[in-house]
Amino acid sequence: MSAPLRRTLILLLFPVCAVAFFGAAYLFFYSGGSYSPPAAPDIAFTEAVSRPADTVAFADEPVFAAAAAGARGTLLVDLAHRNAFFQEELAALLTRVAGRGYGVAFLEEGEELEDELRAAAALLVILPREAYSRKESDLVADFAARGGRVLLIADPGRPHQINSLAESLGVSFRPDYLYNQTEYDTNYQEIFVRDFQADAVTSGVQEIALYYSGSIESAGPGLAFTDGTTYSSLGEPVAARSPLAVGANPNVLAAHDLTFMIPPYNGVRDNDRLLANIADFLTGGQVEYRLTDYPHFLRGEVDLLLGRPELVDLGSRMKARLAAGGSRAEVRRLDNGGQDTVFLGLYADAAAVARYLDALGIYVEESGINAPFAPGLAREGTGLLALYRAGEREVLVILADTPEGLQEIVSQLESGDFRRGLVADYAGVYKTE
Amino acid sequence: MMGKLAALGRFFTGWYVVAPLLMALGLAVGGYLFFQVAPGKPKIGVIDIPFTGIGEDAASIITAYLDYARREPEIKGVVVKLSTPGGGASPSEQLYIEARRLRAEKPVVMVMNGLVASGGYMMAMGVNHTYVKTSSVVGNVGVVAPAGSILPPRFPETVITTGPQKLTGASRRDWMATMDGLKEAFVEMVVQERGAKLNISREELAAGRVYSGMEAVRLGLADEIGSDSDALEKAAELAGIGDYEIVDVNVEVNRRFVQNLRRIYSANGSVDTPLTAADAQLMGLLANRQARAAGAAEPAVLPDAPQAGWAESLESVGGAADLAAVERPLEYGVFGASLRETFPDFPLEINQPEFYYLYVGAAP
Repeated sequence: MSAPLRRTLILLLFPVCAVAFFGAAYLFFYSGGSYSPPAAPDIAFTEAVSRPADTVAFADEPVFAAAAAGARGTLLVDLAHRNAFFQEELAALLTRVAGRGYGVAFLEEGEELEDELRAAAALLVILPREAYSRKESDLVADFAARGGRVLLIADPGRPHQINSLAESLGVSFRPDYLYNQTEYDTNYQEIFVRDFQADAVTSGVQEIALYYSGSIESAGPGLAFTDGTTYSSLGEPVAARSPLAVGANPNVLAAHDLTFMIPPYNGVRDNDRLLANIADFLTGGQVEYRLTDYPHFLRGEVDLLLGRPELVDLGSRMKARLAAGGSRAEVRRLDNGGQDTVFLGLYADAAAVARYLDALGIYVEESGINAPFAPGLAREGTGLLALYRAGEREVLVILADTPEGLQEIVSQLESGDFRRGLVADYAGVYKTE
Repeated sequence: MMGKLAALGRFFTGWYVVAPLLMALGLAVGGYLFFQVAPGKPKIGVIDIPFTGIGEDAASIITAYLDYARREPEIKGVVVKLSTPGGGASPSEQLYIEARRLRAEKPVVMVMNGLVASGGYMMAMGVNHTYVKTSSVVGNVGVVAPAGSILPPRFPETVITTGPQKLTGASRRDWMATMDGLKEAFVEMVVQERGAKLNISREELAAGRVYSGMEAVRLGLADEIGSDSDALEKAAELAGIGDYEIVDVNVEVNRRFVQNLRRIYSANGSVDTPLTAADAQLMGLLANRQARAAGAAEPAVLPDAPQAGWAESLESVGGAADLAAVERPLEYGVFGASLRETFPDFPLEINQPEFYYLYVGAAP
C-alpha cells in the first residue's frame, strides 16, 4: 500500500468511526422506526344537539257545566303531612277543578281530616312526607267507599310516605323510576307513554310525556303502560309498567309523577288533556253522605220546609246557620222536589214527608216510631233525624213531638253532639227530655 | 538526542498510534453528536396523576405536564398514570384536547389506576393506548349538573334584565336539553375514538355504568390489562425506540416552575442552578397547592408550619419572608377572586352553573 493511500485511509477512520458510532447508537435506540400518530377522528360535536318537545295550546272543555266555584263540591288538598310540593305547582290542575264548579280547601291539620272529609267531595294527596296513621287511612278508605274521589300523586324525585295511605286503598307506589334511553324528551327519565287502557281518565289521550315518573302496582287496572324500551330503575326484565292506575276502588286514582301537570310540562303532547280528564275525575264523584256529615251534604241552594207556621223562628235560625256554612237556604211552603231540602216539623206533620221516610223504612205512627234500627220507639221525648237521598238531592227530615223537642234536636244537630247519639248512616233518634 | 526525538516523533505519527487515536476521536465525536446535539438518548416521560378531581387548577397543572412532554424533544413517548373520578366538564374536555394534541406528536399510553371515570375517561379518549388493572374501575360516561326546582325562579322587581333568560341563562327544559347534548357529544367521542374496538352499544355506554378493568377490556373501553412497566414498553414500542430513560415530568415541570420563581425572587436564579433547601420549600408550596386543587383532606406538604431555618432559607431566595407574599403568585393574583368580592353591591347571588363529567360514587 502506498503511503498517501495509507494516510488517506487513516484520516478516514475519524469520520467513519464518528458516523459508525452515531449510526450504531441510532440503530440501537431508534431501531423501531418513527412514530406514526393515529388518524384523529373527526367528531361531529355540533350535531349532538338535543331540543325539548314543543308545547301545545289546550282548550279545556269540561264534562261538567261551569258553575260557581264550590257549588258542586269541594276538593280537599292535603297539606297536613308535610307534603313535598308547592301550591303553585298545582295551578293548572286546580284551575280546571275550579272551572268545573268545585271549590278547593286545604287540610292544614291531620286532626281535622275527619271533619274536612265531611265537607269534601274529592281528596288530593300529594307526596306526604309524614305517614298517614291507621285511623287517617281508614277515614280516606271510607271516604272513597262512599263515592268520594281520591287522587294520589307521588314523584320519585321527592321524598314521600304515600304508601302509608295508598296501600290501604289497594295501590302501591314502587320505589323506582322509569327511563327510556332510546326515546325521551330532554332526559332519559322523561318518557313518552302511548299505551292506554280505555277509561274516562284516558279518554282522548294519545301520547303523554312523564317527567321523572315511577311505576305503580295496583289492585285495580292500570291506565297507562310503558313500552318495550322503557325500563324500571329496579333493573327488572322489561315489562309494561303503569305510572297511572286505578285503585281497588274505582274512586281512587294514582299517578306516579307530579311534574307532568306543572307548567310548562303540562303543555307537552296530551298532558293537558290528561290533566283535564283528571279534573273531570276529581269533580265527577257522587259522595253518599251520611247523617253525620251534616251540614256538608247540603250544598248551594237549600229549601227549608216548615211543618207548621209556629216553627218559623226555628226555621230562621237554621237558615242563618246554613248560610254561615255556605248554603243559601230559603223558607218555602212547598216541596218542589228539585234541590236539597230540610224539613222541620212535628210528628203530626210527618205525612208531608212520608214518602221520604217510607223509602228509608221509617214509619211514624200514633203508637210510636218504627225504624229498622229501633222499632217501637215512643214518640214522646224522642227526636228523629232522617236523611234521604235521590241522585244528587239530599233531603233531611227533622221531627220531634213538641216544638221544644224540635228545638233541642236542631241544637244538637248544629253543635255536632247528635253524632254521639244513636245514628245510623241515614237516620238517628234522640231523647229530647 | 535529536535522533531520539525524531524516532519518538515517528512513533507517535505512525499509523499504529494515529489510527486508534482517530478512531477514538471519531467515536467520541459521534457519541457527542448523538447524545448532546441530536437526536439524543430517547426518554419516556411519565406523568403521574394520583387520585385527583379535575377542577380548573388540576387541569391547568396537568396541561402543563402534557405541554412539557410535547415540547421536550428528548421525550419520545409519554406514560400517563391516572386516577380520577372526573370533574368539571370544561377542565375534563381541556385534558382530552391536550392529550389529543400530544398524541398527534408523540405516543401517549395511559395506565388507569384505581378509578378513572367520567371526565377522566374522557381524557383517556385522547391517548393511543390504555392499560387497566383487573380491579380498575372505569367508564361512567355522562353528565351531571345541579338544578333548581321545577318551578322557574322568580326575581325581585328591583333587578331589571333585558331578556327572560338573562339571569338563569336557560329554562330548566333548555338546560336539560343542553346537558343531553353534552352527553351525546361524550358518547360520540367514545364511539369515534375507540372505533372498531368498542363492543358496547351507545345506549349501554350512555347509561353511565362503571366497569371493572377486565370488563372494560372485554367491552373495548380499554385496551389491555397491564402495569406501569407494560405502559413504558408500549410507549417505547409506539415511539419506535429500543432503549430509553425515564423522565418524571411532574418533577421536571415543578423544578422549572420553582426555578422560574427563583428568577423572580433572585437575580442569581438560573435554570441550571441546583435546587437549594429553599427551592425545596417552594416546591412544597406547589405540591401543597396541587393537593388542595385535588381536594385532598391533608396537603401533601405542609409549608404553612415553617420548619427551623425556613425564613433564612427563604431569604436566600429573595428575601420574601412573608409566606402569603410567596403564595400569592402561586395562586392567580387578582384572578380567581370570588364574584361576591368583585361585585359586593350586586343585589343577587352570583353562581357559576356548571356541568360535570363526574362520578360521585353513590352507593348502588
